[in-house]
Amino acid sequence: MASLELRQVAVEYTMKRTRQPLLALRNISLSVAHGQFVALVGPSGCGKSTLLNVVAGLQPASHGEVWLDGTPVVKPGRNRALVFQSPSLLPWRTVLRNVTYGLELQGAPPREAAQRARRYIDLVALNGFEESYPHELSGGMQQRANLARALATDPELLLLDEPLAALDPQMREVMQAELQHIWLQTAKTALFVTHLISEAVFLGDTVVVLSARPGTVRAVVPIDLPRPRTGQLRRSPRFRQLEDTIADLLQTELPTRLSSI
Amino acid sequence: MDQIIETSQPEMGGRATPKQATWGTFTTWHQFVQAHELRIIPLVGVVTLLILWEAAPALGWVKPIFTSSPSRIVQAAIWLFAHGLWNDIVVSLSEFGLGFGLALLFAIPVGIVLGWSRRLHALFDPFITALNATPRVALLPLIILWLGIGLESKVAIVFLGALFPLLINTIVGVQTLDTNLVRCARAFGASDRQILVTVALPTSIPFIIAGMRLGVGRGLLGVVVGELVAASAGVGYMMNRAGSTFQTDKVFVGVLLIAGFGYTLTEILKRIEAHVSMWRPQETE
Ligand SMILES: Nc1ncnc2c1ncn2[C@@H]1O[C@H](COP(=O)(O)OP(=O)(O)OP(=O)(O)O)[C@@H](O)[C@H]1O
Ligand SMILES: [Mg+2]
Repeated sequence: MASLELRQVAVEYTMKRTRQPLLALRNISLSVAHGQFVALVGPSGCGKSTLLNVVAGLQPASHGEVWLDGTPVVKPGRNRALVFQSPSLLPWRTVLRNVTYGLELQGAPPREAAQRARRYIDLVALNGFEESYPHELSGGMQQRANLARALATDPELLLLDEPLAALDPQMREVMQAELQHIWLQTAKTALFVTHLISEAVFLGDTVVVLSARPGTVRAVVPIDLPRPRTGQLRRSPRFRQLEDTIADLLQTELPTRLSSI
Repeated sequence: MDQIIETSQPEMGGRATPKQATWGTFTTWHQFVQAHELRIIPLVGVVTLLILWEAAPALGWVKPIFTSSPSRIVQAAIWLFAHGLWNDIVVSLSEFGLGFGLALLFAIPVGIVLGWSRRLHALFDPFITALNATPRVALLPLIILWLGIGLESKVAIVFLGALFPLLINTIVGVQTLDTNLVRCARAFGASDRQILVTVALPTSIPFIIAGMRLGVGRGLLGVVVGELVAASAGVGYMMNRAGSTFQTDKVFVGVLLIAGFGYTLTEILKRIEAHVSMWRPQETE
């Protein structure tokens, strides 16, 4: 478990050709308690992936600070795992060896790594494909392998960047339930990016709504639905109500984004 | 009335390979030819060439002293093998093997280091480019001056010939990093060394093998030219002596030996390449 604290984080990129600065994130302050599941939603390009990269320690914040369990984040660490938006599987490794990859980098003994990996391959329903190469998998299967790799390292803080985006709706709901299950069992802290409002409501303890670029926290919506959440719950009035609230918050972001083009 | 029919099929794990056609499955000659087209075409080409080669001097179209002929070459080969050709082959092979081996031992680690470190690469790049652009044959007089006409000078020339394709390909291979994979490894807390071993090296292996294929050609060129110019043994030396006394058949034995050796080595490397790039998507015909 880990507690995460972002203090007035801003990230500015410099565009390569024009040398113009581009403000991706502005004044993000957020605090995530031990074992909390935070879903992040926001318009495309508002800086969600950037935010996860900063928390992962892959890129520095231009302003502000990120604290994890009382230590400032300056570089990647074994207490975090990031599931990339685009599956970054090693093309020359089989699924099994891709899933063991994170464990291998962290020095786990091979046999133990393979055992853990098989567990998570089962979990993401990829059994039978352990010896397949990534190019032999569909986009959604690659994403599941990608997810299994991060889960297998058993991090305290899970950073998930649209990990279910390439799945069909049925598989997606199954994987949402699996994720909830894993999270309930292991009580990890999680930061989960999605474009699907129902997914954010289903999984999140809170849903953080970001504004259009430069992204800043527009609203934090607590999700007061009981756990474990089930498929039935999706059809309850309260669930629908929460979805509408978030949809409205996102809707107000649309005009500004369109007018800024 | 609509009916929903459920069908289920077991999922297939692993790679699916199309069934290989075998002898028994063909009913007609035509089908057999079609299925093995790509093997038959080169065979036909080679056989036709051999027939023409044998026929041309026999029919008086050309003088055998210029073209020789397959049967003469076989006779010459038999004679040569009985009179010390083995020794020449051993000499040439050791020159090639030592030079190529040293080039591998040197180029791969150095290539990895130069591919990894931008600063070192910037420092050495002008030398590599300049030396690579210099025909190695131009260095032969110097090398002979330094190392004499024995084994060492030929090893050196093979080494120099094979070195640059190997070195340059290894450098490019290590530099061709997928940034996504590097970020991913970093996110798992990988050290530079781990990124080198798990990302950079696997990426560069196909490049290194392609470099070896180029290097084989350059190395063989070194052996032959070196032996033609200054040697006291070796296949090239034998060819030089035979050539200067108009023994065309013997010259051809040397040519075929070298061609055969180069071809075999290149084929072996192609196989290795196919084996290590099993993970690549296969193009379907
Ligand atoms: N390496 C970079 N250099 C310059 N600009 C960048 C870079 N990476 C991202 N940006 C810019 O920063 C902004 C935020 O990008 P980011 O990928 O974080 O968005 P996102 O919220 O994850 O979008 P999406 O939902 O489409 O994945 C974008 O406008 C993008 O153009
Ligand atoms: Mg993104």
